[in-house]
Amino acid sequence: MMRKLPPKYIANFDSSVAMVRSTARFLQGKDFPTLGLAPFLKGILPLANQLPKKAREMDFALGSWAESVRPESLDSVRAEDAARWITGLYPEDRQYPAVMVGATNGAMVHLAAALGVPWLPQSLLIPVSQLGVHPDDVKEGMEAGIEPGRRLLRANPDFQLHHVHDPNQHRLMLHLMTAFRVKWIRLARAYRQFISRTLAPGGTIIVLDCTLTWPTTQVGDRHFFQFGVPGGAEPEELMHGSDRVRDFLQRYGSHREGWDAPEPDADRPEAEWGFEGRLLDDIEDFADERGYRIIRLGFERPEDPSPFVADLFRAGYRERNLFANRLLVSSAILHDPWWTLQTGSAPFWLSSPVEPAAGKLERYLDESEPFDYIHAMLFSHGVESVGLAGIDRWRRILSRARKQGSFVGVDEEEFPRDVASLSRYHDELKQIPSRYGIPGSMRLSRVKEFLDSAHDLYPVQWIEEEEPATVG
Amino acid sequence: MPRRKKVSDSVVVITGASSGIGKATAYELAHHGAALVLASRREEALDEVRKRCEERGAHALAVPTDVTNEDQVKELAKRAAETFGRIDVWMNNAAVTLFGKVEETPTRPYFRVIETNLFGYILGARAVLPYFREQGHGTLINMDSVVGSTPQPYTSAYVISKAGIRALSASIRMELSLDGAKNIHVSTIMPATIDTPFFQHAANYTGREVKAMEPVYPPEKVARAVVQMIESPKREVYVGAAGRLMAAEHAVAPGFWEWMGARQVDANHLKETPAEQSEGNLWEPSSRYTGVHGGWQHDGGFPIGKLALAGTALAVAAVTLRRR
Repeated sequence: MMRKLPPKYIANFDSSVAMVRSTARFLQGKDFPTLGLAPFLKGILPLANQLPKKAREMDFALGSWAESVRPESLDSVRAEDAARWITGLYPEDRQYPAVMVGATNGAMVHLAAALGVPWLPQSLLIPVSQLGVHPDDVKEGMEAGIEPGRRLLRANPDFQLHHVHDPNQHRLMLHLMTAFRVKWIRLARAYRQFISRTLAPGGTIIVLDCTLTWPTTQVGDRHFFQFGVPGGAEPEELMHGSDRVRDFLQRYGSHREGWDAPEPDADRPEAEWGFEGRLLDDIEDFADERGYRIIRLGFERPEDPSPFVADLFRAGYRERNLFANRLLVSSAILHDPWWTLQTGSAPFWLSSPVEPAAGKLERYLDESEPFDYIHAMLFSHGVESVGLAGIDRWRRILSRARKQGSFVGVDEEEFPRDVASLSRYHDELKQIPSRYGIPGSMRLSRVKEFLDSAHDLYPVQWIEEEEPATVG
Repeated sequence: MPRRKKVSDSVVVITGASSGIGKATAYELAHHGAALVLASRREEALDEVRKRCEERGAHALAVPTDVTNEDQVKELAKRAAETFGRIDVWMNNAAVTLFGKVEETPTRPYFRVIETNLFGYILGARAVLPYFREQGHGTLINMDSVVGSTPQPYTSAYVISKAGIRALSASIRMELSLDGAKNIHVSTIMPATIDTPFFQHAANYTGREVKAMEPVYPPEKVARAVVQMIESPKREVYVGAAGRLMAAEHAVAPGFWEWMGARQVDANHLKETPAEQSEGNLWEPSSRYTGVHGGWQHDGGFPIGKLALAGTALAVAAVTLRRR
């Protein structure tokens, strides 16, 4: 079958896109090599690691730029086309008992796979090419995004725009582009049609409600500017500086010692991970109309569901008489729901390999029965960013395995500039020896039972909306 | 072509290792340098086998085990994995038998045969497969019998268990295939009559004395087949030309084969000498008959079996030709 080409403004390295692809491939019974991209990339990506450090950094920037759209083309973006492309990835040869809609979250993608249900994201990244704005000139960055943002929003009333400018983790790509993260505030027609076609009568819409917010500045109707992204440094530190921010800027040869960002006017849903509640009203109306049930899975931070999902998988493996002794740490877009289940691994997803995320994982290991094996995939964003957890910390985490800890697809010398990890992760996942096959789908009620039995151990809430009125 | 595995690198668990095929296999594998975990109910006899294996230069561990006890079988797997770090091969081999007509045999002994042979193998498979799955490799060898594919009278409980074992092997293989577990193998070995103390251990409700039905093959021949299965696993293999011939005959002319086979077993598996009823080793292992051999092979003996087989083959050929 021909690969379904995405609209040109879809970014292959966007977390939402990668996770939609992995979920769809899982539901097709497939694994997730090279992030679901063309197989020839498997041969090309490792070549990037042969380049010297500076050239490789340039490669990160060029790779992002190659995915970006010109600001003048933003009025050709259509929210509906993107939604149709997403729904077109999922198999429609079955009735799903549930469908997930909402926040982007790797742990929830693993849960979707275990439940055998599709996930429809609320957010998408549209990388916009932008030359002449220095990454550390934050206000200029915001200004430069106003007109392109207007252009995009004029053509897309269903989108809310979160223009993200992060000179820390996104530093390399900011030389050539900027990140427009859009959120659907109404349920796209393609989503409605897909759900109507494939969700079983009386089925459940699971709304992924990540309540993470970030200080933002409103620059127009449905248009917000977000300085910085979670992972590594809190907004306060990014805004007002610190020794390590100064050190970072010095290391990267900046003309500044701190960032001069626009004053935020409100905390709003975080651009990449947060859920914009305006969509929920629309989902509720739709569910009422069609007789669907709504369950909200609420959590604050992206990693909050990770311990819960890891333990849920582990419990499921134990019920199947498996050893349940293997932890597979995934980060950002480096994940593979199919191999996770095939190898009988409990998945622990991290939004990025940064210090707070490492801390979450360490605390999870502190409180869990030890794992015999711990494997970790580390996403490289190319920058020795403020708050990045260094390779030694990850080595220490792996050493907590009772029998063996190992990186999966990580070149320890090259992290965080390990471009080749984007293809190598899959080859090395296959080297994990265990083979358990893909089990039948988990019942949704099992998730509820597991959460209930945990008595608030996990920072994940199961919120059941009122039953819809009986039609007729 | 699949890579040949080295027996010398293998950790092998053998159930029913205190006599007969199990013991012969233990010695053969010890000679090849495998690490051995030996299991059977008879502690003393088992320890003797362990010592002999060590004398041959092998690392060996004896774990007294009743294969009908799930906890003990699980413990056997655990001890093997803990001692040697992994399990490469698990040979389900422990078996008992009973002679008697279906309706004349007491129920409990009849069921006990199936419990030991079939359920014992199931427990073995269930104990070791999680290790194989976790390691991503391993070979389960189920020591079956030619009667798994060609039934015989007077030993229906044994025949049922052996047919079940063949089916069990195939089902596990198919599950592994679906799960993409390419390096986990299940091999079924189907020997013809083997010269072991198995028939001395048999329970007997026929009133007639039991003997091994000719032709009788040496247990070392089966042990060599096990080595081949470890090095290069196959789905099923017959040991002894008579077994292959019987299977072919049964496939070509099952009706005729049943008529012929029934008379052959009646004449060659049971003597006319009267025998007391006996529960054999169904519940209590015997302290006697701990050897590799059962003394059924006689050099220069009259080749009744061979002649009978040749006759059968000719008869089958004749019937087949007449049908055309």
